[in-house]
Amino acid sequence: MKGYSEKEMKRILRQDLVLPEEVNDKVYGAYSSLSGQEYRPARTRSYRKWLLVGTAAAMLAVTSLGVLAANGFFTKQTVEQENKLSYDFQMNYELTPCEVKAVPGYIPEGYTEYGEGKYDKDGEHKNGISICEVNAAWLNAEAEFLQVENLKDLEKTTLANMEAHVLTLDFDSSRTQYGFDKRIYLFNPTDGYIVVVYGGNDIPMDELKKVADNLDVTVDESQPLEYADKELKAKEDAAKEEYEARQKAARAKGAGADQVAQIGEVFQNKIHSGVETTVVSARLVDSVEGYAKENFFDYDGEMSYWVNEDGTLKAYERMTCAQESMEEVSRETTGQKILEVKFKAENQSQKTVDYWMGAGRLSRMEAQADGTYKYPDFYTEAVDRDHGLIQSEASPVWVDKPQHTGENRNHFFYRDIQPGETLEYTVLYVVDEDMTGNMYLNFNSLDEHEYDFFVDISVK
Amino acid sequence: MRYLVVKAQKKNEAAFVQLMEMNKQGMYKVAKSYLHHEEDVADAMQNTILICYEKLATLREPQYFKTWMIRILINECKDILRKNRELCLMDELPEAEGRDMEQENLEFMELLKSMDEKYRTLLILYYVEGFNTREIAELLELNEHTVKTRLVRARRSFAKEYQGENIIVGGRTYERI
Repeated sequence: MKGYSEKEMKRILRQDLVLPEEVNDKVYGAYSSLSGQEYRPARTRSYRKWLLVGTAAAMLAVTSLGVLAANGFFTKQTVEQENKLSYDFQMNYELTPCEVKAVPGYIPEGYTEYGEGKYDKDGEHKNGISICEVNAAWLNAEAEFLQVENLKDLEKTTLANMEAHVLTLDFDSSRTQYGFDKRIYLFNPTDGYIVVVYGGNDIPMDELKKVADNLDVTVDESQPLEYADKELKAKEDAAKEEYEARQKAARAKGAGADQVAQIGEVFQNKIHSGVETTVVSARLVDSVEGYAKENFFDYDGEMSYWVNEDGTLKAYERMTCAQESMEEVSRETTGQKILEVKFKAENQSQKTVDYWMGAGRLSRMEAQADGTYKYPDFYTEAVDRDHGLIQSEASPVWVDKPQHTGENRNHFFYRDIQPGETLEYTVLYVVDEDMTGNMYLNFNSLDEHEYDFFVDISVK
Repeated sequence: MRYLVVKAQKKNEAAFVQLMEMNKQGMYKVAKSYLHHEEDVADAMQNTILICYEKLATLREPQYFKTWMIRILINECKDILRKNRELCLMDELPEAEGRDMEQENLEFMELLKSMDEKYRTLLILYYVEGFNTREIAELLELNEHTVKTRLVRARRSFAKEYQGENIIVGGRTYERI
């Protein structure tokens, strides 16, 4: 199976897709039925023509700059480094981008159009000529595809009255299955577009230049487009990266002694001050007999698979992996037990606390000689990914008094506590029988480690 | 987007269409995470658009438009799945089904196929639509614990697959042949 880095996954998930004709037909059919006007798809194919596979978005150092006039849709910096070429565009968001159409006034003899803007002469569709109009909205969203990393030659000239970059490539890395080794970029910052003319190795560069030089490009102002909020996405990405770095640091630091309570000890956590909580008891039980099935979060879907006829739990195959490298270090089969935990929570504040996370998540910690706690270097999960959610997710599986059911079931283990109200409730977890000596409940309902607060519920 | 929602709530069709066009890509991706037949995706999107138009005036808080719309879409997808008794097993796609689109959107489709079913929608909602874990829990009707853990596991899972390009033994990395 092909693998993906998280960055690559984000890029792929966020890229614009070509919507199938039947989808566009129905969407535009719906618009038409609402307004009585006829809506037709706005040449969606022009967005992705030929660009079947995205290029690797390698970041290059700036070695030379070329800046265009600033009174158009964009300015650009051209970045050249050995055999690499990329562009940095600064968009002018004051102007409204529109759809663009390029019609060739010249196509070499023998080439016929087999798709919109695509021409070849052998019917194989693996080289020939492809014309791709990049409007300003698309450019703003995905300028990276103009990058190349195998540049053999770059000629800067003027074609069709536009600044042109004529690229000869060793091969086209984004389309190795095709025989394309030439590109011509026509830049029109004034009208807000770039035209890319791809050329196969079956067409001489002079002929490709002639195609580019004879393009008739029109901007369709009746089809205005919107810029995707790239800045917002960049901010979100930066915030996520910062968050991940912060979490890593907090994890490395570990938890202080003041972040861990014992059974019977009253504590408050940082998230819901005013609610005093106590883990009253924690004990292992062998069987789910006597615990109402309807009080499981999902008995039929998750739990029943692991329950033997007598109510005991089946053993499961467990994988232990290193936290950092995620490398699997061992695999073993272990039995499972039910852990029954009784809680008491009292809202001593004057406010109702919504969605009180009364049941923590199962965690493992390593007590250190200095009284602090270290986050473990390993994590475990079930080998059986289809049925192993219970083992891998460390969440409660049963509660005696669920408040949120039906449509609100996603908050099954959460409660609202009124001012002055005291709740006493019981929760079940599924635990590995060989790890019951190292169990903690984490009462942090947020993602940040700094809010972690544990109760040691180890059963020695 | 808020401005468009308010305009659309006043039955301004152009604003509504623009609003939908802005969200069309996201809608398609979410629908595709549930349904593999393009006709079903088209039906789900069409029904969602019609329902949104009809019910938009009932949306009290315009800033929640996207959550509200995605919830409608997910319900439509689930309805179609129920009706078709269709299992969302991408590996079992008929050979000819949607082949052109698979080529056009090759990277996305490959990624979708490689994802465990239970992570697909979650990752699209998180990475594409920008919802937080609580919002995703509500949209997917999942336990909030589960969303958080699945997100962590999905990341690990992908990282594992990514590392899986090579074999790591005793701290040394060997390339797969």
